[in-house]
Amino acid sequence: MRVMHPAEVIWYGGGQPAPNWQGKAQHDRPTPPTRPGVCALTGTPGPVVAGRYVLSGLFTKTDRFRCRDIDPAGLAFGPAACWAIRHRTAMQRPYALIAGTFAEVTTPAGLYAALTHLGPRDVVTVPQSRQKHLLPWAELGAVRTDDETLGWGAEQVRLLDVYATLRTLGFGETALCESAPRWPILTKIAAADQLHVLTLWPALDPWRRHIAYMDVAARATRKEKT
Amino acid sequence: MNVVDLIAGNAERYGPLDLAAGRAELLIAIAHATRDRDVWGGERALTYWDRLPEKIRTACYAGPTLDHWWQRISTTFGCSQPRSDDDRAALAGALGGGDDGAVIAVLRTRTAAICLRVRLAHQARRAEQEKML
Repeated sequence: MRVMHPAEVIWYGGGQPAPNWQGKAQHDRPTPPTRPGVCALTGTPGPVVAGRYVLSGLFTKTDRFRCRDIDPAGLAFGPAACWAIRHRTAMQRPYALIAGTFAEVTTPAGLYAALTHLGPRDVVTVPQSRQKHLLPWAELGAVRTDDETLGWGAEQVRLLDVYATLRTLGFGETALCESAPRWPILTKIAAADQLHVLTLWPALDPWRRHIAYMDVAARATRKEKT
Repeated sequence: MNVVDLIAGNAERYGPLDLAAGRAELLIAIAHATRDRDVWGGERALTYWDRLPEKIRTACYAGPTLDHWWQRISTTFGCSQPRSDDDRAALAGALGGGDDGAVIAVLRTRTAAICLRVRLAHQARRAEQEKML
């Protein structure tokens, strides 16, 4: 039995939606023709669409499609890969596949909840630059950011809680990336909380060395825009 | 109150440190307490705490032992001999306690956090003094 590619798992979780062929084009773009072949992303045989209909002219990462050389007729993508690559809003906003349901995460609280409940068959994608594809490279049980996949387990959930606690005590996103608490903030909080801050602060050191985690945590703990 | 008591109060308030970090904290506290106040007072005092970690980290590259570090810090801050016997004994113990590499590693990598503890200790002492007045 073939193991499904994470992009296919997410596609099934999303209810097998059709790819967004229109994109940013001003004129109507018809659905491109399909042919039998092998998907360059997932390696799944079946109906595929030629790569030129799927990828933008600015796309430079074709060497990352691990099955790109299998189809003798050239680079082509199956329906799941087409959907994942052409999903524009997934490049711009966080999405989550939690408990088999794929949906956009619209609020920081929603992202926090998704990160807290992320299981081994779930995925969370958190764009940073809003310019890069995330869904095609997502991995199950992990958080995908622009350039890397962040492992996510019980330890990360604990650190996210620490991050949120420090943030509620008044430390901002930049201050939390520093090696010690900022003096003006520390002196404003109650003496009992000062001890709490000094105890919690070193816990985030692994994330300070791997700044993508801090980006994800910052995004999940922001105040809701009103 | 001497520096040793000040640091002991810190351990009660903010939890004890490991051996190397404890020695690093003591050394920074003594360097701070014995600094030349004519040089580091006035307008310079405004930026003193912001510049302290940088000076401490720079001194770590003076040489492989804590003696090198202390010599560089003494020159930078114009440190004099500690005033009390306890502090002098503590300084001698901290400098000659062996495993200089571990203490220098703490001084280099956890500088800001240790400086913060020393600053908190001084702030707490000042608050106590103001209360007594």
